[in-house]
Amino acid sequence: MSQPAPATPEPAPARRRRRAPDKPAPAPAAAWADESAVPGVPSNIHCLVVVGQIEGHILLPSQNKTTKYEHVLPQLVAVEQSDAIEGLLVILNTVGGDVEAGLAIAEMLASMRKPRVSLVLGGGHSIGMPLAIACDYSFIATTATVTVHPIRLSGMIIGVPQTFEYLEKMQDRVVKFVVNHSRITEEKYRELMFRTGELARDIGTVLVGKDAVDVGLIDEVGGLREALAKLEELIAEHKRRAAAQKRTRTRGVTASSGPATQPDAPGEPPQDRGRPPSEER
Amino acid sequence: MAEEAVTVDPRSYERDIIEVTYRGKRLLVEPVSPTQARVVRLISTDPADFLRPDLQPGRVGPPLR
Repeated sequence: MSQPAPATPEPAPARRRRRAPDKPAPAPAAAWADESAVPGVPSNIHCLVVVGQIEGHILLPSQNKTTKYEHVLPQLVAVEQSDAIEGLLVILNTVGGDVEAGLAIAEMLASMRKPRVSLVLGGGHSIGMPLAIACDYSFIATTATVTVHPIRLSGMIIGVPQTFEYLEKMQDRVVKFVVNHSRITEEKYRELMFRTGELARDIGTVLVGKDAVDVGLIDEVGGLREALAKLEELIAEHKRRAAAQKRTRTRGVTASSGPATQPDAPGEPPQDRGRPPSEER
Repeated sequence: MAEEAVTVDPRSYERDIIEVTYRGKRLLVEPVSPTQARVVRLISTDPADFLRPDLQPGRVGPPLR
Protein backbone atom coordinates (compact mmCIF):
# COMPACT_ATOMS: atom_id res chain seq x y z
CA MET A 1 0.00 0.00 0.00
CA SER A 2 1.48 3.23 -1.05
CA GLN A 3 1.79 5.99 1.48
CA PRO A 4 -0.82 8.67 1.12
CA ALA A 5 0.57 11.93 -0.17
CA PRO A 6 1.13 14.50 2.56
CA ALA A 7 -1.74 16.90 2.87
CA THR A 8 0.52 19.92 2.69
CA PRO A 9 3.73 20.09 0.76
CA GLU A 10 6.89 19.95 2.84
CA PRO A 11 8.30 23.42 3.35
CA ALA A 12 11.65 24.10 1.78
CA PRO A 13 14.39 23.49 4.31
CA ALA A 14 14.99 26.79 6.08
CA ARG A 15 18.44 28.14 6.78
CA ARG A 16 19.75 26.77 10.07
CA ARG A 17 18.99 29.27 12.71
CA ARG A 18 19.88 29.03 16.36
CA ARG A 19 16.66 28.32 18.17
CA ALA A 20 15.91 30.61 21.04
CA PRO A 21 15.79 28.66 24.30
CA ASP A 22 12.27 27.62 25.14
CA LYS A 23 10.62 30.26 27.22
CA PRO A 24 8.32 28.83 29.88
CA ALA A 25 4.66 29.26 29.09
CA PRO A 26 3.35 32.51 30.59
CA ALA A 27 1.69 31.99 33.97
CA PRO A 28 -2.09 31.85 33.82
CA ALA A 29 -3.81 35.13 34.52
CA ALA A 30 -3.76 35.65 38.25
CA ALA A 31 -6.99 35.16 40.11
CA TRP A 32 -6.37 38.03 42.50
CA ALA A 33 -6.87 41.53 41.30
CA ASP A 34 -3.78 43.07 42.84
CA GLU A 35 -1.20 40.61 41.54
CA SER A 36 0.83 43.15 39.59
CA ALA A 37 4.26 43.47 41.09
CA VAL A 38 4.55 46.71 42.96
CA PRO A 39 8.13 47.67 43.65
CA GLY A 40 8.60 47.28 47.36
CA VAL A 41 10.46 49.64 49.65
CA PRO A 42 13.05 47.47 51.36
CA SER A 43 13.26 47.95 55.08
CA ASN A 44 15.67 46.51 57.58
CA ILE A 45 12.98 46.25 60.23
CA HIS A 46 9.79 44.30 60.39
CA CYS A 47 6.63 45.53 61.99
CA LEU A 48 4.31 43.23 63.92
CA VAL A 49 0.91 44.72 64.66
CA VAL A 50 -1.02 43.16 67.54
CA VAL A 51 -4.66 44.03 67.00
CA GLY A 52 -8.06 43.17 68.37
CA GLN A 53 -8.14 40.07 70.49
CA ILE A 54 -5.37 37.59 70.98
CA GLU A 55 -7.06 34.48 69.67
CA GLY A 56 -6.72 31.34 71.71
CA HIS A 57 -7.53 27.79 70.85
CA ILE A 58 -10.96 28.56 69.43
CA LEU A 59 -11.44 30.38 66.15
CA LEU A 60 -13.38 33.53 66.82
CA PRO A 61 -16.23 34.61 64.54
CA SER A 62 -14.92 36.27 61.43
CA GLN A 63 -16.12 39.78 62.24
CA ASN A 64 -13.64 39.89 65.11
CA LYS A 65 -10.22 41.36 64.58
CA THR A 66 -7.78 38.90 65.99
CA THR A 67 -4.11 38.26 66.43
CA LYS A 68 -3.51 34.68 65.50
CA TYR A 69 -0.71 33.16 67.53
CA GLU A 70 -0.31 30.28 65.08
CA HIS A 71 0.76 32.78 62.46
CA VAL A 72 2.69 35.17 64.67
CA LEU A 73 4.92 32.55 66.28
CA PRO A 74 6.44 31.21 63.02
CA GLN A 75 6.69 34.79 61.79
CA LEU A 76 8.86 35.58 64.79
CA VAL A 77 11.03 32.58 63.92
CA ALA A 78 11.41 33.93 60.40
CA VAL A 79 12.27 37.40 61.70
CA GLU A 80 14.85 35.98 64.11
CA GLN A 81 16.47 33.87 61.40
CA SER A 82 16.45 36.29 58.51
CA ASP A 83 19.66 38.19 57.79
CA ALA A 84 17.81 40.98 56.05
CA ILE A 85 15.72 41.85 59.10
CA GLU A 86 17.69 43.67 61.75
CA GLY A 87 14.99 44.63 64.22
CA LEU A 88 11.32 44.29 65.07
CA LEU A 89 8.81 46.99 65.92
CA VAL A 90 5.76 45.66 67.75
CA ILE A 91 2.75 47.95 67.58
CA LEU A 92 -0.11 47.22 69.94
CA ASN A 93 -3.73 48.15 70.03
CA THR A 94 -5.42 45.21 71.66
CA VAL A 95 -8.22 44.48 74.11
CA GLY A 96 -6.40 41.43 75.41
CA GLY A 97 -7.62 37.90 74.90
CA ASP A 98 -6.37 34.42 75.59
CA VAL A 99 -3.80 34.42 78.38
CA GLU A 100 -1.83 31.40 77.19
CA ALA A 101 -1.61 32.54 73.61
CA GLY A 102 -0.62 36.00 74.78
CA LEU A 103 2.06 34.62 77.06
CA ALA A 104 3.28 32.35 74.25
CA ILE A 105 3.87 35.34 71.99
CA ALA A 106 5.31 37.35 74.88
CA GLU A 107 7.81 34.64 75.79
CA MET A 108 8.76 34.27 72.16
CA LEU A 109 9.38 38.02 71.91
CA ALA A 110 11.32 38.07 75.16
CA SER A 111 13.63 35.27 74.07
CA MET A 112 14.64 36.69 70.70
CA ARG A 113 18.15 38.00 70.14
CA LYS A 114 17.31 40.70 67.64
CA PRO A 115 16.46 44.17 68.93
CA ARG A 116 12.74 44.66 69.54
CA VAL A 117 10.88 47.78 70.51
CA SER A 118 7.18 47.94 71.31
CA LEU A 119 4.79 50.83 70.97
CA VAL A 120 1.42 50.82 72.70
CA LEU A 121 -1.13 52.94 70.86
CA GLY A 122 -4.80 53.13 71.71
CA GLY A 123 -4.89 50.26 74.18
CA GLY A 124 -2.65 47.58 75.56
CA HIS A 125 -5.11 45.91 77.83
CA SER A 126 -4.97 42.71 79.81
CA ILE A 127 -2.51 40.33 78.22
CA GLY A 128 -1.50 43.06 75.79
CA MET A 129 0.62 44.55 78.53
CA PRO A 130 2.95 41.56 78.96
CA LEU A 131 3.30 41.64 75.17
CA ALA A 132 4.42 45.24 75.29
CA ILE A 133 7.00 44.74 78.00
CA ALA A 134 8.41 41.54 76.48
CA CYS A 135 10.43 43.68 74.08
CA ASP A 136 13.80 45.25 74.80
CA TYR A 137 12.24 48.65 75.21
CA SER A 138 8.62 49.73 75.38
CA PHE A 139 6.90 52.98 74.53
CA ILE A 140 3.39 54.16 75.20
CA ALA A 141 1.61 56.99 73.45
CA THR A 142 0.31 59.82 75.65
CA THR A 143 -3.32 58.86 75.11
CA ALA A 144 -2.87 55.10 75.10
CA THR A 145 -4.21 53.09 78.02
CA VAL A 146 -3.09 49.96 79.74
CA THR A 147 -5.48 48.05 81.96
CA VAL A 148 -4.15 45.94 84.80
CA HIS A 149 -6.70 43.46 86.06
CA PRO A 150 -6.93 39.88 87.28
CA ILE A 151 -7.30 37.10 84.75
CA ARG A 152 -10.76 35.73 84.21
CA LEU A 153 -11.96 32.26 83.44
CA SER A 154 -15.07 31.23 81.58
CA GLY A 155 -16.60 27.86 81.16
CA MET A 156 -17.60 25.15 83.57
CA ILE A 157 -16.31 25.85 87.07
CA ILE A 158 -16.10 23.09 89.66
CA GLY A 159 -17.08 24.37 93.09
CA VAL A 160 -14.03 23.28 95.07
CA PRO A 161 -11.28 25.31 96.72
CA GLN A 162 -8.83 23.88 94.23
CA THR A 163 -10.46 26.02 91.55
CA PHE A 164 -9.28 29.11 93.35
CA GLU A 165 -5.80 27.67 93.80
CA TYR A 166 -5.70 26.96 90.09
CA LEU A 167 -6.76 30.52 89.33
CA GLU A 168 -4.08 31.84 91.66
CA LYS A 169 -1.47 29.74 89.91
CA MET A 170 -2.56 31.05 86.52
CA GLN A 171 -2.52 34.59 87.83
CA ASP A 172 0.98 34.10 89.22
CA ARG A 173 2.26 33.19 85.76
CA VAL A 174 1.26 36.60 84.46
CA VAL A 175 2.47 38.47 87.55
CA LYS A 176 5.85 36.75 87.42
CA PHE A 177 6.28 37.56 83.76
CA VAL A 178 5.40 41.22 84.26
CA VAL A 179 7.65 41.63 87.27
CA ASN A 180 10.56 39.92 85.53
CA HIS A 181 10.33 42.11 82.45
CA SER A 182 9.64 45.53 83.91
CA ARG A 183 10.63 47.80 86.76
CA ILE A 184 7.44 47.32 88.75
CA THR A 185 7.48 45.46 92.06
CA GLU A 186 5.17 42.53 92.71
CA GLU A 187 3.45 44.35 95.59
CA LYS A 188 2.71 47.37 93.45
CA TYR A 189 1.45 45.24 90.59
CA ARG A 190 -0.89 43.27 92.82
CA GLU A 191 -2.13 46.51 94.37
CA LEU A 192 -2.99 47.84 90.92
CA MET A 193 -4.60 44.57 89.95
CA PHE A 194 -6.95 44.40 92.93
CA ARG A 195 -7.93 48.04 93.11
CA THR A 196 -11.67 48.65 93.15
CA GLY A 197 -13.52 51.73 91.99
CA GLU A 198 -11.59 52.48 88.81
CA LEU A 199 -13.19 50.13 86.34
CA ALA A 200 -16.96 50.17 86.03
CA ARG A 201 -17.66 46.43 85.97
CA ASP A 202 -14.32 45.06 86.87
CA ILE A 203 -11.50 45.13 89.36
CA GLY A 204 -8.26 46.74 88.36
CA THR A 205 -6.58 49.93 87.27
CA VAL A 206 -6.55 51.99 84.12
CA LEU A 207 -3.18 53.56 83.40
CA VAL A 208 -3.08 56.29 80.80
CA GLY A 209 0.16 57.11 79.02
CA LYS A 210 2.54 58.54 81.58
CA ASP A 211 0.88 56.65 84.48
CA ALA A 212 2.11 53.40 82.99
CA VAL A 213 5.65 54.75 82.91
CA ASP A 214 5.42 56.14 86.45
CA VAL A 215 4.49 52.77 87.98
CA GLY A 216 7.38 51.13 86.16
CA LEU A 217 5.53 49.03 83.61
CA ILE A 218 6.38 50.80 80.37
CA ASP A 219 9.81 52.33 79.75
CA GLU A 220 8.97 55.65 78.15
CA VAL A 221 6.22 57.85 76.80
CA GLY A 222 6.62 58.29 73.08
CA GLY A 223 5.33 57.69 69.60
CA LEU A 224 6.57 56.36 66.32
CA ARG A 225 9.45 58.79 66.05
CA GLU A 226 10.86 57.79 69.43
CA ALA A 227 10.22 54.09 68.90
CA LEU A 228 12.03 54.02 65.56
CA ALA A 229 14.93 56.05 66.91
CA LYS A 230 15.30 53.64 69.82
CA LEU A 231 15.08 50.64 67.52
CA GLU A 232 17.78 52.03 65.27
CA GLU A 233 19.94 52.71 68.30
CA LEU A 234 19.47 49.13 69.53
CA ILE A 235 20.24 47.74 66.08
CA ALA A 236 23.48 49.71 65.91
CA GLU A 237 24.41 48.55 69.40
CA HIS A 238 23.59 44.93 68.52
CA LYS A 239 25.76 45.10 65.41
CA ARG A 240 28.61 46.67 67.35
CA ARG A 241 28.49 43.94 69.97
CA ALA A 242 28.33 41.18 67.38
CA ALA A 243 31.35 42.63 65.57
CA ALA A 244 33.27 42.92 68.84
CA GLN A 245 32.45 39.31 69.75
CA LYS A 246 33.64 38.15 66.36
CA ARG A 247 36.89 40.08 66.78
CA THR A 248 37.53 38.65 70.24
CA ARG A 249 36.79 35.15 69.06
CA THR A 250 39.13 35.42 66.08
CA ARG A 251 41.85 36.91 68.24
CA GLY A 252 41.44 34.14 70.82
CA VAL A 253 41.58 31.32 68.30
CA THR A 254 44.72 32.55 66.54
CA ALA A 255 46.51 33.43 69.80
CA SER A 256 45.91 30.15 71.60
CA SER A 257 48.32 27.30 71.07
CA GLY A 258 45.96 24.76 72.50
CA PRO A 259 44.09 22.11 70.58
CA ALA A 260 41.96 23.32 67.72
CA THR A 261 38.40 23.82 68.84
CA GLN A 262 35.17 24.25 66.96
CA PRO A 263 34.42 27.92 66.36
CA ASP A 264 31.21 29.21 67.86
CA ALA A 265 28.21 29.56 65.65
CA PRO A 266 27.83 33.25 64.75
CA GLY A 267 25.82 35.18 67.25
CA GLU A 268 26.22 32.73 70.10
CA PRO A 269 27.85 33.81 73.30
CA PRO A 270 31.50 32.80 73.36
CA GLN A 271 32.11 29.60 75.27
CA ASP A 272 34.51 29.72 78.13
CA ARG A 273 37.67 28.03 76.92
CA GLY A 274 39.92 29.28 79.64
CA ARG A 275 40.79 32.49 77.84
CA PRO A 276 40.70 35.64 79.91
CA PRO A 277 37.23 37.19 79.54
CA SER A 278 37.01 39.89 76.91
CA GLU A 279 36.39 43.44 78.02
CA GLU A 280 33.28 43.60 75.90
CA ARG A 281 30.10 41.82 76.94
CA MET B 1 -13.45 43.87 79.67
CA ALA B 2 -12.43 42.05 76.54
CA GLU B 3 -15.50 39.88 76.29
CA GLU B 4 -18.00 42.72 76.63
CA ALA B 5 -16.25 44.73 73.98
CA VAL B 6 -16.86 42.04 71.44
CA THR B 7 -20.33 40.94 70.41
CA VAL B 8 -20.49 37.20 70.34
CA ASP B 9 -23.24 35.43 68.46
CA PRO B 10 -23.02 31.67 69.13
CA ARG B 11 -24.20 30.85 65.63
CA SER B 12 -21.36 32.80 64.11
CA TYR B 13 -18.85 30.40 65.67
CA GLU B 14 -19.72 27.91 62.96
CA ARG B 15 -17.33 28.64 60.18
CA ASP B 16 -17.11 26.55 57.09
CA ILE B 17 -13.38 25.88 56.85
CA ILE B 18 -11.83 23.76 54.14
CA GLU B 19 -8.25 22.87 53.37
CA VAL B 20 -6.78 23.76 49.99
CA THR B 21 -3.38 23.79 48.39
CA TYR B 22 -2.57 27.15 46.92
CA ARG B 23 0.73 27.91 45.21
CA GLY B 24 2.13 24.77 46.75
CA LYS B 25 1.19 25.72 50.29
CA ARG B 26 -1.51 24.19 52.46
CA LEU B 27 -4.09 26.70 53.54
CA LEU B 28 -7.23 26.55 55.59
CA VAL B 29 -9.73 28.80 53.88
CA GLU B 30 -13.35 29.76 54.28
CA PRO B 31 -15.55 30.63 51.32
CA VAL B 32 -16.64 34.24 51.08
CA SER B 33 -18.31 33.84 47.70
CA PRO B 34 -18.96 30.92 45.36
CA THR B 35 -15.64 31.56 43.65
CA GLN B 36 -13.40 33.06 46.31
CA ALA B 37 -12.12 32.17 49.72
CA ARG B 38 -10.49 33.95 52.62
CA VAL B 39 -7.33 32.56 54.16
CA VAL B 40 -7.90 31.42 57.75
CA ARG B 41 -4.63 29.70 58.46
CA LEU B 42 -1.38 28.75 56.78
CA ILE B 43 0.00 25.30 57.54
CA SER B 44 3.71 25.20 56.89
CA THR B 45 6.98 24.41 58.58
CA ASP B 46 8.96 27.01 56.67
CA PRO B 47 9.13 30.23 58.69
CA ALA B 48 9.65 32.31 55.55
CA ASP B 49 6.18 31.34 54.34
CA PHE B 50 4.67 33.24 57.24
CA LEU B 51 6.16 36.47 55.96
CA ARG B 52 4.55 36.15 52.55
CA PRO B 53 1.70 38.64 52.21
CA ASP B 54 -0.30 36.45 49.84
CA LEU B 55 -0.62 33.74 52.49
CA GLN B 56 -1.62 35.88 55.44
CA PRO B 57 -4.83 35.06 57.32
CA GLY B 58 -7.60 37.37 56.23
CA ARG B 59 -6.40 37.58 52.68
CA VAL B 60 -9.23 37.09 50.22
CA GLY B 61 -8.31 35.49 46.99
CA PRO B 62 -7.60 31.80 46.68
CA PRO B 63 -10.01 30.74 44.00
CA LEU B 64 -12.46 28.00 44.81
CA ARG B 65 -13.22 25.39 42.25
